[in-house]
Amino acid sequence: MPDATTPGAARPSGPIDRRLIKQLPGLKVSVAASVMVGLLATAGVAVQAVALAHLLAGAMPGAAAGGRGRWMVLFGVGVCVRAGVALVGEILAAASASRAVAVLRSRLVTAALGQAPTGGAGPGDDGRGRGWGPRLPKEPGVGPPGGPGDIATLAGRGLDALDVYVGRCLPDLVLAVAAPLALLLAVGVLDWLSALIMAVVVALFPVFGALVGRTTMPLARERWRQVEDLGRQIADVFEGLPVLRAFGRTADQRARMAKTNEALSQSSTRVLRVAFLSALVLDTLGSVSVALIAVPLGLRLVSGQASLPAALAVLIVAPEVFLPLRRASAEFHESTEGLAAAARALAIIGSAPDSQSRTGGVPLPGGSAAAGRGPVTRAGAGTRTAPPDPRRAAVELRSVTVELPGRELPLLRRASLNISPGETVVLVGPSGVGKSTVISLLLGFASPVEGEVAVGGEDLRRLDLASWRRLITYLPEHPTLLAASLADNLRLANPAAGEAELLRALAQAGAPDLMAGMGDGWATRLGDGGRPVSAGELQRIALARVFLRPRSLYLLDEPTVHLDQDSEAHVLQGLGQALGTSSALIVSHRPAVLRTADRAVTIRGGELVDASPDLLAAAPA
Amino acid sequence: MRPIGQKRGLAPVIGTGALSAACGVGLLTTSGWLITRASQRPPVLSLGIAIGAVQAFSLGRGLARYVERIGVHRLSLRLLGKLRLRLFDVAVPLVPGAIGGNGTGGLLSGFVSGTEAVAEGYARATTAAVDVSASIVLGTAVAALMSPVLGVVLLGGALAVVAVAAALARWGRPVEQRAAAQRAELANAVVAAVRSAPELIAYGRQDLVEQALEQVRRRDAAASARRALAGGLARSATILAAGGAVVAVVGTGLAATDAHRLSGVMLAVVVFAALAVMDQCANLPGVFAANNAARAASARLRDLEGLEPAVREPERDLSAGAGPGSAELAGAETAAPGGTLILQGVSLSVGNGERVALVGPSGSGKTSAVHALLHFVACRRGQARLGGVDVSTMTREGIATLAGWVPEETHVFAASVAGNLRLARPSATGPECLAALDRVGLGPWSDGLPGGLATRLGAGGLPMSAGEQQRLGLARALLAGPSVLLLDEPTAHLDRATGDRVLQELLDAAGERSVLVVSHDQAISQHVDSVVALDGGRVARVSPGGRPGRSQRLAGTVAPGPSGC
Repeated sequence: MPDATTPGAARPSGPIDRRLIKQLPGLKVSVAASVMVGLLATAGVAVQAVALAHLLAGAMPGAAAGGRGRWMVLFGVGVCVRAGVALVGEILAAASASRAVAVLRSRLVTAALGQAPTGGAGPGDDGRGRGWGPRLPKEPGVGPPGGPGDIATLAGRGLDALDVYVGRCLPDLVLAVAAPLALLLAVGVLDWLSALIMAVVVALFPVFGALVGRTTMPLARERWRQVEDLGRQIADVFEGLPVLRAFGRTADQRARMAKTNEALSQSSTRVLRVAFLSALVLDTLGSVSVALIAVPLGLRLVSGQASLPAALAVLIVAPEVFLPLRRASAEFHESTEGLAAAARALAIIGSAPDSQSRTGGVPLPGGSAAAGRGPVTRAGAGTRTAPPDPRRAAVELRSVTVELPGRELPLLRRASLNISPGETVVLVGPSGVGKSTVISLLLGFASPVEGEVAVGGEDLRRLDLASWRRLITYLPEHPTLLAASLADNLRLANPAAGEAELLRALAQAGAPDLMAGMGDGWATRLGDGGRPVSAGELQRIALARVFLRPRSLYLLDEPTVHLDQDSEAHVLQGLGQALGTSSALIVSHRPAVLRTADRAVTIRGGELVDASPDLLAAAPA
Repeated sequence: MRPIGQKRGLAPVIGTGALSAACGVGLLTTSGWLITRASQRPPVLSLGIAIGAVQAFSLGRGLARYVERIGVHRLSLRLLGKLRLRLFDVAVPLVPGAIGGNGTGGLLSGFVSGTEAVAEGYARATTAAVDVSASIVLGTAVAALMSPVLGVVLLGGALAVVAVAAALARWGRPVEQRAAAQRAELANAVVAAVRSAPELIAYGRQDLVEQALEQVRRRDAAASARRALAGGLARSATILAAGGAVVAVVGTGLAATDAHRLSGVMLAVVVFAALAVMDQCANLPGVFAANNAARAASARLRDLEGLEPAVREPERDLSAGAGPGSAELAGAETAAPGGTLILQGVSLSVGNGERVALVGPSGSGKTSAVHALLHFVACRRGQARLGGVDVSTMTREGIATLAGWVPEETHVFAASVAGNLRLARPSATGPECLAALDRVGLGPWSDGLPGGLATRLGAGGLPMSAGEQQRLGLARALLAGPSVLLLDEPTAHLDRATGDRVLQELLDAAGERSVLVVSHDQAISQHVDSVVALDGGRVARVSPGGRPGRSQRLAGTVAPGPSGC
């Protein structure tokens, strides 16, 4: 997907993004509806022009004064049609934009969920990816969560910016061709010679446009890039403002900013002169076409070769011919941000396993899923076999290699791990080494470019992932809260749990008083807009979820982080009981957790190696 | 924050704008005259002047508009530059004391894009104001020349259209604002849903993600329909008003021709003048909408301007009298912007060469203590001192020479490695920069940099891990040569093992400097001479640390308890 990695290619080449239209089948219909409405407005303009022309012609000496009322009414009809169409058009545009954004958003999320949060993009592997890591195929400068490279942000604010393009720009691009044609037809009926002149002018526009475009486009693009660069620099400066202030460097920075501003406005006049040339061509052709039509019409009227009402009507509609084109070009400029977001979303959607499985079924190891993208979520779930139970079957990584885009060495290189039934393995190692990726692999969020994840000897890719995940209890490194009640947040792990069970689980998690201490007990709203919770409380809620969900395989990422030593001991004791005959892989560095392990492994040079002797010995008993 | 002070350069814009409007009115009225007059079959020669005028107007209009556009864009760029500087001036004393803790960047980025909205709204509003008013004046003048009554009717009609467009824009403003607020809220809901997705899928509950998205879709559709209704009504009412104005002109004009007070040709001229005016007025709803957005952004900027800076910085710097390497809080009391007390009489002292850890639960005031020492927040009571001198008597530059700060999430600027380091000391040479990197354990990292010290970092540059960023932050702080280091949760974003290692390396790199290190982790005590535990804004406990060979010599230098209040 080179498209998504080079920022320059994130913009579509032409004004109409075909991939977007392919992804949104309903878009054609809504654009067609908006175009129809737009043509109705054009008809309104024509009706108004004809009516007005007859009214004016009727006022000339010697003209028949009859039918004035009729033309007045017709003029009014034209105005009302345009007014009604303006309202309907606006509503259609909003509905179509809102629908398109929703569809694209849900496709993006589905695709991203299917896509492996591989390597450093795995849950919190670099310590920054809070919650979830599936980012863009590692773009340079992919920042922290909330940054522009983050999928969640792309799905949220990013796609919102698409509405101008979908709602207005696309229909107006079609109208830029359709409306002049319709007006030409109408003018042709009234006065074919004027229609011919108009047609020549309309046909000249693309010629002039191409000529001007060839010289101005590079400059206009350059200017756009400059403005964007400056915007980014300024955002960066503001983000780092506390640091600048602490180093006493704000005055320097201010001076530099003032200088950049000055330089930009100095250079801008020259650039603007060129950049606005295409607007000049459009404006000039528009007004010259009026002159080109008016003068011959006048001369032909003198020699009696044209009728006054027709001539007036033609003159009134003449300026309208270029209007849709002018609108479309302005809207296209407004759409840049949204189009860039759409291009990135489409790159992710296009690379999703869903679209691969349609053609080739299960991607094979080392096959087309180059960057370690997986056959995940629900694709083809029905055709896959039910997984064996980890209480009876070994869970293995067999020589898996996981690559991280933008990193030379693979994150995991032919790494192997065998979790025998009932075994508790603790995974230790410095951050960024791939620990969370191991958990992602076992959950089926990621799949290796080489090797396989096997359960009881069966490749995970051939198993039904939903059933597989039903056998697992997962505690992510950065747990999340739903915008829901405390009880619902806990029942996420076990929808059938009664209040007594919830309370017991909280007690096991070392927070027996958590519920009572919350304003509304079980009904207390948490998450976005709800009661804020501390890191320690969040960890306890996440642990309570684990206790509510007795399963065959536990995948726990730093389960006792944010806990003090006493709570940790209490939680580990409960966990020991809960684990029973289940298998577990626990990422942790706490000596207390290490003591509960049957063995410890670590990642060294991309391989999983046994760390038991030194680490278990080092953990004070 | 008012977008004023744009007088320079405005006159040419008004001139060219008026010229372009004049050409527009002239083009339509002379063409109208030409055609109606021609229909009376006069000698062709008598039409010559009109033919020439039509052609001149048609060319002049585009050119004048072109010049006007360039002028307006230059003005708006200059305004944008001014607004950015003003935002900078407003924001500097506010961060990180008065707004946000660590999320300041995200908050300010909203204001940065706000300045763009203001500048763009200014450009559009200025162009429209010039074009519309020039057309109204000229159109009215042409009509009044033909018939004073028609002049009055056209003027009245045009003003009515402006009034309708303005009234509806005003009526739609709250709808627009609510819709924008809701949209931001929904975007956050999407972000939350997507972030929780892996956990939900693991629990077999991806339906919750889908549900959340579906709910967002429904609410967004409703909100955008309301907004479209408001916008559509404004456009449609403006079209109706403009149509009504033309009808009024035509009706009055026809009555005048019937009464032989006006010739048919002159009527055509007046009607075409009216059409030229209404053509300009058709843009009004869009212009008012842009103006609404600009006003909202500008109001938010004004709110920011109204915020009280957390500290007053002195003109004169008294840091020269400071001794080396000590940092103290003496009965320090600080408050959040709302007035809630944060530090409630905290006394602690870091002696020269001493290492002190500040621990406690979140919200206990650890970061505020550091901010007080850096004079990001003022002490309402008590004092914060560096080298024995009250920090409120020092300038930023003065404080920077005494104390090096590494915040919880230090910012890596979109600049070269060297640029990021020289922030601390512009005169630092290449070897000095490399040495600083080496000292914090980034030696191997800097050897592997593709472009050496010129390698770009930050947004758009080389990706860095959290540990690498923290170390770069420390290298930067060390380069400034301060005698006290203030480390705020230096390892919060690292796992335990890495965190321990990084902390050890950071402290080794600190050498004999005094260090105050904030941590939520009790295990810090083995690295320091003493541990100060905060709870609820007060010192709860002071205990000796386990730093080998040091604890005994330095025991007792930590001021006991909250003695200052």
